[in-house]
Amino acid sequence: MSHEHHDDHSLPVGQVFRKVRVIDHLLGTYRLSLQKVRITSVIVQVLGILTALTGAYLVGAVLTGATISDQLMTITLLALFTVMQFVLSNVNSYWSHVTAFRSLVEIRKAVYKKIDELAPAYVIERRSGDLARSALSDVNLLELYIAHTLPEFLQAIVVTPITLLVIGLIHWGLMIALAPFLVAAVTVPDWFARRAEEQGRAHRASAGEMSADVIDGVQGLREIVTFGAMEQSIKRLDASQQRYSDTYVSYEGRSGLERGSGDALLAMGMTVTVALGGWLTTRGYMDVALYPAATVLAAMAFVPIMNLMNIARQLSQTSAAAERVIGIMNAQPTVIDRAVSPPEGSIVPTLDFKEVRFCYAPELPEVLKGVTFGVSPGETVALVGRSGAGKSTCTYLMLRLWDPTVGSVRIGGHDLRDFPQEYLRDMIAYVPQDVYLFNVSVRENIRIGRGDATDAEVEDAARRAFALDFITALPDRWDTVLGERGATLSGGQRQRIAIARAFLKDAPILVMDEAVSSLDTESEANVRKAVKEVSRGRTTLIVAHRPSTIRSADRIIVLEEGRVAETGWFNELAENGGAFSRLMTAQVEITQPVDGAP
Amino acid sequence: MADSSKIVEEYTKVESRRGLSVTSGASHMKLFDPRVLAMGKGEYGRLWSVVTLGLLISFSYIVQGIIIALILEDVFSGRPMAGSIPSFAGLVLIIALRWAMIWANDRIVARAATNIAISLRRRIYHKLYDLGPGWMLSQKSGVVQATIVDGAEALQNYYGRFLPQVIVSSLAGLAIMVILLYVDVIIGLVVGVMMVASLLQPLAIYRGVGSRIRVWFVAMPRLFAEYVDNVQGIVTLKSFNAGKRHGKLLDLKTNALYDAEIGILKDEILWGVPLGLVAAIGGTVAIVIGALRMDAGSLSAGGLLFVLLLVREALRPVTDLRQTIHFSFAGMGAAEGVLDILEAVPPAAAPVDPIAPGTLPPSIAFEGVTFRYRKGDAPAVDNFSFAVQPGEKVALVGRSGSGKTTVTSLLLRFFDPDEGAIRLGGEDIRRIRPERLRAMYSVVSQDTYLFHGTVRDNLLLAKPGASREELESATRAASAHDFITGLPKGYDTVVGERGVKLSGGERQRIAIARAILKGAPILVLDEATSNVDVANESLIRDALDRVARDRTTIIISHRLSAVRDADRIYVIEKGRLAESGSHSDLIRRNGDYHALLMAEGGSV
Repeated sequence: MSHEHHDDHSLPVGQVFRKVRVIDHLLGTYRLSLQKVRITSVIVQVLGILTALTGAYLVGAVLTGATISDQLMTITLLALFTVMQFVLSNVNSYWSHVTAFRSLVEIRKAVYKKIDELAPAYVIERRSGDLARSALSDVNLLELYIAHTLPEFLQAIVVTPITLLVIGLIHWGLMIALAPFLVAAVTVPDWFARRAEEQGRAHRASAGEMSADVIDGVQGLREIVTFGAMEQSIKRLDASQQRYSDTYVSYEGRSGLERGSGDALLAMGMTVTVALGGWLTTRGYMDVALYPAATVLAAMAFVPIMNLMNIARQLSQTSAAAERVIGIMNAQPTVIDRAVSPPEGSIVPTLDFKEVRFCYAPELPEVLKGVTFGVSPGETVALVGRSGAGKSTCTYLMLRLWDPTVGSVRIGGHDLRDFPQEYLRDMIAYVPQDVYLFNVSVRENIRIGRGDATDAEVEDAARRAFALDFITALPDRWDTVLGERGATLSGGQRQRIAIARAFLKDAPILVMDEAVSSLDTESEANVRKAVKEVSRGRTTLIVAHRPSTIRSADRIIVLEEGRVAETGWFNELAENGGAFSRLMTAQVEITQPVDGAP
Repeated sequence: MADSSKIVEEYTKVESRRGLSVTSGASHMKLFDPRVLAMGKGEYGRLWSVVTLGLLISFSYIVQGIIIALILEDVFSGRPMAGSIPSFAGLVLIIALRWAMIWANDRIVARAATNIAISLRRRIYHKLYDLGPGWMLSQKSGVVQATIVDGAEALQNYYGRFLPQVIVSSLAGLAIMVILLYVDVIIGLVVGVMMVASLLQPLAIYRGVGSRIRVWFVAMPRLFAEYVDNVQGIVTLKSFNAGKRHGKLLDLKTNALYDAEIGILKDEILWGVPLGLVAAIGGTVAIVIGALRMDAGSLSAGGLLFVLLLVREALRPVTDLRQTIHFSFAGMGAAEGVLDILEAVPPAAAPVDPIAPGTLPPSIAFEGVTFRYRKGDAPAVDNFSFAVQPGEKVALVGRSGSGKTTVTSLLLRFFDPDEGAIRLGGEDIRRIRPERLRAMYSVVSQDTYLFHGTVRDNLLLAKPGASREELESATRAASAHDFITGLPKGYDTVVGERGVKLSGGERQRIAIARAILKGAPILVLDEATSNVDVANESLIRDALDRVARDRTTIIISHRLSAVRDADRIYVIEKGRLAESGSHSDLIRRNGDYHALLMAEGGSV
């Protein structure tokens, strides 16, 4: 946005025009209704001018001695224009809002679908929550564009020239005298363009800062109150509010200067028309009956330009929003389906990493540097290593959230890229390290595992994940909405919810990323039992941190700096003094003095 | 309309389950609701300059119309143009003055409006501090944030733009009507009816669809929040192939909300039509009547020109008011949320007769305390008693959800007990001012909130005037100095929103340093290590041991290792005291404590 004004200093009309085309592109299917709305809005505006014109003409005619009976036609037309304008403007207001709301619905659906396609790579890059929020609120800003910007824009470029021409028909001299004022009015926003942009940016920045301070103050309420830091916190909010107010005042002041200048140009244009028209009339160059009409038309010529100026003031905000939405829509997903149907024959649930190399972006260091290992059907394999060794990355590649740069990940001997993504994810149940709980009831949170599961199946899955005890202790039991009224779950409880989802899904392959932080004693024991249950009979790959989990695995694979350092049984690895025993010693030293039963 | 009522019903259901109400107050809120007008008391003083300037601008348009009408009359009556020169000079002067007034007006309105928002936000903030974290537990923090940021903004426009415009438009409209009445009684009345109709139209619309608009104002952000929730959890949805299914559910809800929107829109237009028609044809009728009366000889040429030019101006105040009417709708939508906070009853009220300041010995006693988060719930703490003498170290242990953390909330008076009493230094804490009570404690809890700012700012929260030496000795004691100096800008490193740039262990050590810096006589460690990586736990434990020395200490933990050397251990089970004693006593009793210990021993 920032370089726009330096690159090209076109009139606001030109700016609007380019941006309108961008929005049109987004609205593909609604183009027809949009055109309808735009054309109607021009007709409404023209009818308004015709009403004013016939009214002023009627006055002029009567003043120059015409009788009412001569003017029945004028009065009929005046009545007709008035009523038509009223009806059509109401109809158009309905149409434009229907089109706008409908388009928003469609755009929002499209953005959601696209984000689903792009996740998680794009989402992670953009810092998850911000992306979601901005993508969705940006879409809302488009309403202003669709319902208001486009019609007003068209009015300015169609109605103003027509009005000016009609004035020219009354007398060419009036047209020439008025034209400079109209041109000046169109360029008013350009006089202040750079300042407007700077002020706009400063204001948005201060608004963001203030809102961040408010969020900080609400989320940190407990700390503020316990430290008695109320005054400090209010002072901080006051400071950012003051900045917000200052930037707003200078922004609005400049905007008032624009508005005042436009208003002055309109009034001056009208004054000049009154003066010149009066002179032309007294000299006999112009029909006195048209004099009031010319005066009224001079003012009407400015109306669309005034509307456009109001829009131009909000342009940078809405077009930036549009550009962000388009940015999302044009982004390339990291993983693309190349297979329409899965490979033929039954698929044996084996897992294979074959010489897998991977980096998250070409400019980032390689995370996996040639990883090869396999998991047989029904086997439980623990993936261990220090943080940053590439363990979680392996799980992402398993789920095909990304594709390997070199090498392949295989299930039943088939490259994952030969499966449609949906089919692949049906074969795998995934228990992530940070379990995301949705802002819905516990029951619905578990049902994420399988949408058509019955309540009984959900409850059975929870029982098998050892989650029943804490769920039934929640304030509203199964209907408790998580994250509200203090119904927060501990790390261990969250993992058990995720395991219950996996039970519900009942897929042949289980991929699990164990929680890093310490669980409470009871949770830890329950999670251990639940993991054991859920991995029974499934091909399981666990990223493991806890000695107990590692010990219970059939086999251990140790990753070190993106490579498989060693693989084997627990006892075997613990004693050979290699990577694994170094890792275990480091952990045990820390964990040991913590506990120790008598 | 079936769909729209369905979605309203659904949201109402959801909200009532959440203990919030959407529709109850909303259906009674009027455009000039006395509660909302009363809330603005104290702000109205700022608005006189806005009203004055608005009136001056409006009158400048009227004078401009009159002057142009006079010039036109001169031309029609064939007088030479030279005679109109003073009129033209007057016109130019008025135009120049108005140019300056519009500029000043927009600045003044912006200042007045934001000042109102500032003052409202301060009031909400002060109220939040009175309500405290206990009240926050029953709210969605996102909604509270939105009320403070967006709600205050919507109201700033209601108070700062809409209300002044009501006065300006009414007075300007009245002036035009009086002038026209003077010119011609019938035309004056016609224009009067037109203006009144225009002014009443939004009120009619609001009466017709107002309550549904406000429900929409509530439903829309909820759907929005659902979208955000789904996008944030998209990886989970994707891995369960649930993304599309959830997308479809969202689509259904979005469509239902869309239908509601269109229903409102239809009604809005229909409700607006009768009065809108009167307003739209009023101008035309006035001009036609003017022509007829001129024809009949009962109106002068000048009078007719007055009518032509002032009828246009009569619409201006009405249009100006309409442009602000949306602010009023949004303001009403927001007022409910703001009033909910400002009128909320704190879960722990300030003492009526606080005890005289003096030094309180740092001892604590719970005497038969029972507390429920909601009426009808099982008690979170049930007839619970325990005591800590000055300098003692006492531990509360129990499974997750046994009521341990509720004890901290009660200690700090985020809530008051339903039964029993809590005493500090022998005094019932309900008689101690909350600030004074909270100054007695240093608390380290499991999820430490760090504010967006530097490490230093976050530390200074505990003791605003602390010297550099004090700061560093606190961080050294908390084993935090070394990692802080290793940060890119040391103590001046910005920790990021919620402290995201630091690990859980690092955040926790800053919290401990804060507690040391505060130097309060009683230390409360509420699950201080439970969100910390296994690898960091011992470092933090050492730091905590150093702080706890020489202080009255309460340790709340689900891990038993940290509490072995406590003077006394209380075991809580479902909010009740199960057993108490020293570590060795409890082991000998072979009860709950022993069982917990065994369970934990099995974990390594």
